[in-house]
Amino acid sequence: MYRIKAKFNRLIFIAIFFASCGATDMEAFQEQAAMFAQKDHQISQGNFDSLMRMVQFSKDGSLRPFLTDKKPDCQKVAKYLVDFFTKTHVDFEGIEVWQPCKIASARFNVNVFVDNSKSMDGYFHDNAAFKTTLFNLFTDLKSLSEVSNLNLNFLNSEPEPIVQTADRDGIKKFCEDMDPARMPTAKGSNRANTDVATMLQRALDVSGPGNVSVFVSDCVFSPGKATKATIQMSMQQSNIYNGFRWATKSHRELAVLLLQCDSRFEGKYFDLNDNPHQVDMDRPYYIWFIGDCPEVGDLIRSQVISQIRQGVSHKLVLQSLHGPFHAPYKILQKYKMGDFQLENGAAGPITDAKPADGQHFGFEMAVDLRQSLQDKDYFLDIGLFHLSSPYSVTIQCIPDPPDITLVGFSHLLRLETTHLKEEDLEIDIQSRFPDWVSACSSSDDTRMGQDRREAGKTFGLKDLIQGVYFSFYPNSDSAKISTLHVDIKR
Amino acid sequence: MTTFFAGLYHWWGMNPFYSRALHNQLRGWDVTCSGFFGRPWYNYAGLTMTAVTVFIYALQYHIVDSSRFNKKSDLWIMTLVTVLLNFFVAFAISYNNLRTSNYCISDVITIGDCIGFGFTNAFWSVILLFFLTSVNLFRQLSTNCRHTTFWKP
Repeated sequence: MYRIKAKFNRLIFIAIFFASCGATDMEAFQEQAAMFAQKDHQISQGNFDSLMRMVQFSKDGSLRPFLTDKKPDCQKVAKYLVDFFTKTHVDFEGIEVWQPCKIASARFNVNVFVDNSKSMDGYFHDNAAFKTTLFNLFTDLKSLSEVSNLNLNFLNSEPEPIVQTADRDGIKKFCEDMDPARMPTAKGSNRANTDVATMLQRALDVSGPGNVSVFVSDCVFSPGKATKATIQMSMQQSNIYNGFRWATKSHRELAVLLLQCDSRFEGKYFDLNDNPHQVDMDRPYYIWFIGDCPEVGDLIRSQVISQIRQGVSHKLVLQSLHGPFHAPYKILQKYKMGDFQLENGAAGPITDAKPADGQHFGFEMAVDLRQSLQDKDYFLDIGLFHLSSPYSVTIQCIPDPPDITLVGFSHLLRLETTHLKEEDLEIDIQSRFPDWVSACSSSDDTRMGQDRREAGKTFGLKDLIQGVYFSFYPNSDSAKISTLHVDIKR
Repeated sequence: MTTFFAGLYHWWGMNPFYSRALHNQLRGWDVTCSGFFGRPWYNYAGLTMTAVTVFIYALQYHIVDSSRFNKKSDLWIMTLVTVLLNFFVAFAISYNNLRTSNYCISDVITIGDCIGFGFTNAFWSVILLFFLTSVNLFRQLSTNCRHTTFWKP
């Protein structure tokens, strides 16, 4: 009997030993996270730090997905924990996960330059949305925690500082000064002409690390009667190109956000021959934000832009791209035309690819394009996508809140082909010159006031924007936002 | 270890009794459909199958080791117990994941897949028991069952 019992005990011990094998660090991580959640119904900062240490000291590689450059990535860990609690158990509904890695935004100054040349007088009347829009915009900018000081200036040939470190009263005073009758005129300023290139250069010169320039203008090039505007346009474009090209070389991370807004214009409009036309109609004007990418990115992500009072008609974002960024993606198995496997996980490669009916093959992938400053809707233009093989592309934004499997991604790409082959499929996402600029540009504004089609257009806009655009993206390689590589094996 | 058990249970891709979706989930395809870093259920099933089968063998041959329990028919009874236990364990693992939706939602897993996995686990447990009872080296350690195999009465 004793012999039997001893043998039995040995067998039990061996069974337990084998049963305990196979537990991975990932399992331990999940169990630890579950324990923390059960105890406090949240993952506090201390809990989060413990879990990060598990990732740091993991030996079996099962926590490798949480590493970036071999270091624990707190964003990935936080994202996984949110996914995990949402999916695993109904008792974990509503678990709050401490959000790490909030990079405290460096504070920066905002220097506002409002074009006060004579051509802008039509916007400065009291009924114009222009003034109220700017009043609200300045107030919202000042209220941002990232903004240290708001400095308000007029600008034509030279900046005219009006209010430095503006407070509530300073903003009000500046907006009241937007009145042709009260317009202060600094020595050397020239309200008669509008040299957009010079004004943009002034705003650009002031921008840099810790300083964002906001330039507001109708952007109508008006050199005066002595000079024919149409002849000078190409020189304007070159001046702008030269100024911004130099800045993109010296600023490693320059970004420009251009907004086209509309306002009632009542007053004299000066055409390309500098002849006045009395007009009373809605006309576009432009707000430029010029600065370093992180700071312009902060402004884009804040509510300041979306709260612009009368709304924004069009938007253009230009961002220094020193090579395409690596956009994270994962291949989904929800949609398949034909069949394939993902032996090494959702990041690929696609293996055992087989077309349906011997011909059609397709798959879907979720991509994260949020590193770009562009809106999500910007990427819905399939003209931005250039593929190394004949695949058709459809793209849609991932709605909020996203499906559990799509957390951390911004867009869904669906790719289909009738020529499946083994290859490293390359998908280039490339910026292109916006169509709206051509549609909103005029080359002859002499019929302003008579031709309603001219109301929404800006003389010389295309040349102006091309100067800026091509300074950022002088060739197709420099316009690559991101490149994706998908390895396909049969 | 996961690769070994995955190949074994999925018959090295030849003739699975359950879907590829369940196969991936058992390999550790996680709930966010991102990669093979979920729980390696194949390991748990494989090790449990091995432990249960070895225990059942040891129970008859070395623990009980009785002259009243050394017939071929007794071995078949123990085999039946092994089959039922291992089927149940494998079915329970996969069905529990199915019931609690603890798998990538874009995959389709059915009860039929769970039954197929249970059957596969039971099948391999029988193969293992055949092996353990056939090899003379192990049987020689028994007193009353050293001649009890599937091949002899």
